[in-house]
Parts: sequence; structure tokens; C-alpha cells
Amino acid sequence: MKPTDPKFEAWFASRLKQNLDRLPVTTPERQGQVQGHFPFGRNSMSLTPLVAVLKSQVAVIAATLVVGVSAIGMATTGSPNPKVWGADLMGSIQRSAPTTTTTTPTPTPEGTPTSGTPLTINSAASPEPRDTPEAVSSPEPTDTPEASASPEPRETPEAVASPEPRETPEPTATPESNGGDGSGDD
Amino acid sequence: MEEGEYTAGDPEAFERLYRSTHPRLVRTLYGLVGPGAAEDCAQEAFEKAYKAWPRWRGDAPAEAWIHRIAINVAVSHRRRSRLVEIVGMVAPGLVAAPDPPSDGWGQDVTHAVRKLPVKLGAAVLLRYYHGYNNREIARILGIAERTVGWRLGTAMARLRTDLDDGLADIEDRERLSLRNGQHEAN
Repeated sequence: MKPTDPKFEAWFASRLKQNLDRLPVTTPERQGQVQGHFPFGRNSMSLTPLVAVLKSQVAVIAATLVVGVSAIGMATTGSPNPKVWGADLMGSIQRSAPTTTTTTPTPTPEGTPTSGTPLTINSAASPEPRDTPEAVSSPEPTDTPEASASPEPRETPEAVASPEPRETPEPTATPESNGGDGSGDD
Repeated sequence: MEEGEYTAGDPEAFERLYRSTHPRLVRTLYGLVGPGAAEDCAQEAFEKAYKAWPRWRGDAPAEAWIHRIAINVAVSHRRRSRLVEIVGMVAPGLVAAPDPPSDGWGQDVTHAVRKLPVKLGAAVLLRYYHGYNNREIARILGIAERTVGWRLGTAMARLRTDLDDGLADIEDRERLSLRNGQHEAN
């Protein structure tokens, strides 16, 4: 049987009518109900002014956000150019990175460990780098004048150049070895 | 109702059009979008039609014009539903489950029509439920008559495949009645 068979079409049309016609459809009969179906009709309030007000509010909020972010960026970095803000931020992060290591306990010249001091927290919070010798509390105290002036310099270059050498190569160059078995010269 | 009875932009004429076409329009939409969304789509179609009523030209029947609007609404609804289905597959908790079919729905020709692409389903409903001919359908849908013929042929071929059981049932009954008739004659 072909798809366009009249018998099939007749059967299909009758079943379709039968199914759709028995569906209950409620149509408003009164005028008020009909008007209720069209909220944008004659006697209803238009939403256009409300939409305009909402749009203007959104614009004001967006503008406030832009101005606020610009002000914060300028106050933080001191530059009005947003392109510089990223570089300034990276610089301040890099500057603050060494100070964060100072929060770990560092041994004092006397050998008593000190806990993290409030000084390091303050130095990390301040954007300006400190040039005072107190802020440099690195574990290599030999670079600082205070460390070189410590009473017990142990592994300093000055200690290597001390007049009492202990493991020097001079003992191997003794006269006994020169005139011995002669294994070194042959 | 003749299209000459309507005046573009006249609210009373629109109310008359609404009353006369609402049930048929809702039933068309039942066939295209199902029971859950037909009323909503009909309301949306009438709202759109009400806004466009002052621009309605009398060269096309008002009922055909409003059917065209309703079918466009159904097309948009089916697109949205497909999107919701996709979202539901990706994130099941994000969207609500679709409405279950009501009693007596989903096993017959109306369900088969609803499974068709909406443009094919619209042509089928306009032809086999409303009784429009190909030329009138072409005017309603804004397409060529040849396209209407192609859509109807394609749709009926698919429906025939889907509804084979129903047709087989009809043929069985016809065969049975024929046999009974012969038996009674004997």
C-alpha cells in the first residue's frame, strides 16, 4: 500500500479528528476574560517605563563598578594606567616574597632559635622595601657587619685564613717523603 | 467567517476572531507541541497577533494569518524544548522533567504527528484536521504549493511507518467484518 493511499488517508483523518475533537478546550466567552489574555492591551499598564528604569539602574551599577575598580587600582598602584597595574602587582608580590621566608624561625648567633616576629609581618604588609640591616635576617649572618663582629666566627673566610691551619697540604710535603721510595718521581 | 468581516486594528473584531479561532488553534497546537504547552503557545500566539493586528492586511484570511503565527510559535517552542532536553541530558537536576502525556494521549495518531518535524506536522494538521487544500496551506505557511505537496507526502510516509499497527488493526477488522458478512450470507 502506498503512503498516499486514500484508505490510509481517510483512516488517518478520521482518527485525527476523533482524537483532537474530544480534547476539552475552554475558550473565554466574556469580553473581560478575552482582554485578560492580552496584558499589553488597551486597558493594561505598559511595562516599557519599568524596563527603561531597570535598564538605567543596571547602567548606573555598571558605571559605579568601573569607577570603583579604577579608583582602587589607582590607590593601590599609584598609576592611573590599568596596563601598569598588573606589573605593579607582580612587583609588589615579588618584593613581598623574601619577607615571607622570614616567618620561619632563624637561629641567632647564640644558637637559640627565635620564633616568627611581628617585625616580619609588618615588613611583608608594607609595600616599600626596607633598607635597614635589621630587616635582613637571612640565615647567612656572615654578610652583615654584625655577624662578622660576632665573637665566634666559625665558617667565615676569615676563619679559613686564620694563622692556625689544621688540615693544610704542608704536612704531605715533608722532607721524608721527598727522599723516600721515589714512587712519585718514577 | 469571511475575512471581510474583520477590520485591521479593531479590538472588537479581534475579539470575535479570538472566540472563533481559539479552539481550533489550541487543537492544532495540541498536535504540534502536546497537551502541556498547547494553551501557553495559543496564548502567546494571540498576544503576538494582537500586537500585529493593526498591521494585518485583508488579503489573507484572518484565520490563516493567525494559524501562521501559531505555527511559528510552535516552531520556537519545539526549539526551546529540544534545548531543554539537551540541557536535561547534560545536567539532569538543572531542568524539570517534561510533562507526562495525559490519559489517552501518546498512543495514537496525535502522538505520531507530534513526533514529526513541526513543519511537516503543521502541514498534516492543516490538511487532515482543518481540511485546507494545498493552495490554502501554502498561503498559511508562506511556502510554495509544491513544497506543501512534498511535505505532505513525506509526512504521510513517516506516519504510515509509525502507524502500521493501527492500520493493520483496521485491515483486520475489515477482513473480519467481511468474513462475518459472508458467514451471515451463507
